[in-house]
Amino acid sequence: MFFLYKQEIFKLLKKKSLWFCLLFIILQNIGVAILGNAYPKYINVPELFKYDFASLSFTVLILIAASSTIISTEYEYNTIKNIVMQPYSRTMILISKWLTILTYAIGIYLLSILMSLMNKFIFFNNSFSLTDRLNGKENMIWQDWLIVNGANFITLWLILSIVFLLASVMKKGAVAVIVGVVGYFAMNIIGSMMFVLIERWEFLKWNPLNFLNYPGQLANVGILSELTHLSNTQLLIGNLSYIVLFMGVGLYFFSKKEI
Amino acid sequence: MEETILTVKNLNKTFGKKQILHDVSFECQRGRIVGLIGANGAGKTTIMKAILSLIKSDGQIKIAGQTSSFNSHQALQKVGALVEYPGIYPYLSGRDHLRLFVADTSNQKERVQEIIDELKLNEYVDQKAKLYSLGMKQKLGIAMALVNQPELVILDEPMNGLDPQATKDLRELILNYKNQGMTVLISSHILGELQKLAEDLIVIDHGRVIKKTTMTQLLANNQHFVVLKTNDNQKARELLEIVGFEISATSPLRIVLTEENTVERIMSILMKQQITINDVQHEDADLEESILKLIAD
Repeated sequence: MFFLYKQEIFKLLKKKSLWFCLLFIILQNIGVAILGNAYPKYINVPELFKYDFASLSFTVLILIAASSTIISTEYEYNTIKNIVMQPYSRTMILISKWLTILTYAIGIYLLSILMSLMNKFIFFNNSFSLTDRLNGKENMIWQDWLIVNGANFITLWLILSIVFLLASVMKKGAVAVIVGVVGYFAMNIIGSMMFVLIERWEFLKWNPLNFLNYPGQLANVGILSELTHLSNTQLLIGNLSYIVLFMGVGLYFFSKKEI
Repeated sequence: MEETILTVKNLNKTFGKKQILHDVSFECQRGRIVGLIGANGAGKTTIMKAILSLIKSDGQIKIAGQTSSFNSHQALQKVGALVEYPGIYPYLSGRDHLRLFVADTSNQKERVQEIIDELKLNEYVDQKAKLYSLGMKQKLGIAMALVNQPELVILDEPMNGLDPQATKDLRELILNYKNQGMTVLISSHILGELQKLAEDLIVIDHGRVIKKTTMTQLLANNQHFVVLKTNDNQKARELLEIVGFEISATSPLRIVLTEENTVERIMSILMKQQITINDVQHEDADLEESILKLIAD
């Protein structure tokens, strides 16, 4: 199992796209921080900081693509045979791929967090303090910042579990990427419509898309819960349950796949 | 004493409603080169894929005494393989591929260099594989199959895309590994090459094993010929046909030898008629002819 994980990490580190994406996050984080610094009247900098100067959104996109391609390229290059012919089960192969993406996700989140922290002290040292409380909120900015990052990481895995499921069922990665990206942005596009539907049919609150509101609900105490009809704990448990469910179904299909 | 390294017993495989393999059973003995022969679509690759757990199948597969199945195939630790065309990551170099698959041992670096030297990959092994030609990829695929010095190596059409020199090098390499005790299960369309390599043969036709034999046995049962050059081929032919010889070709004269129709008899007949013999050559039917005859039967 460790051998498979080592193989996956070796391949990931050899991909140019990995280094390009990490460099992109660094530049994007600095770029948005500079913009915030230049236009403080129009941009709510502490809010921006909570979301790692928008790096969180890009991180999700990068990881959706990475999760999909870590499976689909094996079929594209016909290398899936080389992997399966080793003395490890298909289950172990897929788990090693999950662990690789988990490692990647932790790395890229840490990079976003560190870059945001660094940019906060470089560009906004005098404009706000990490211990400030915004709009009379209970939490200090640094607390909200870490909560948003943590909750975002959990919803990221809800999306990735769907992407992994689709990539395991299909051989083409494009579909998994499209569904993942659309799913992620669907909240903004169909979010308000979904809330109307939830208002009308209560059971719809259990649909997976609603659980993507977890970071938003945590950051805006009390406001979103009226729309999602779910408590913070329900959102957390729901997220984790859906992740386990989708990962499990993906594993089932992958373990039966012929090559 | 012979030791079985691979046992395939009652292997059946269906794709949808179509049955591809019908009760395929055979064994490979340790240290032998076993040729898997059959026409396109006969089921050779399917058999190899089933052994390698790439596809589901019914039946029993044992590798060095250990049962191997679709979901539990630890026995493949002892196996190296190249099936169909090689799987290559375009963004990795040849050396990276070997580093990726070499087993964790203290001398893995040396082992990678050893196989690079053996397959003469040095010139391009550090270039990205996306720049490789078909032959280069094929050689890398073979190197990947051999890098862990497996007890059993399965090669499906390994000569694909190789130039004559590389084909010869591969043949020598396989023989060298065989002499060190490795078993090889090999399929190839180039029967001439297989004839130079394989000791045991399994002939497959329409998903069934139709013959299990050795190369020596199969070739011994072949027809033997004598090829003659005379000062009057036309007359010689007519004479020999009258006395019951079978002529398989006329230019030059190719005469089928049997227990009664011997070279001695030919000589005596032709000399009596004062036909001068300029050249005599013995010829045996090759593997190709034998296999074609087998399949036709």
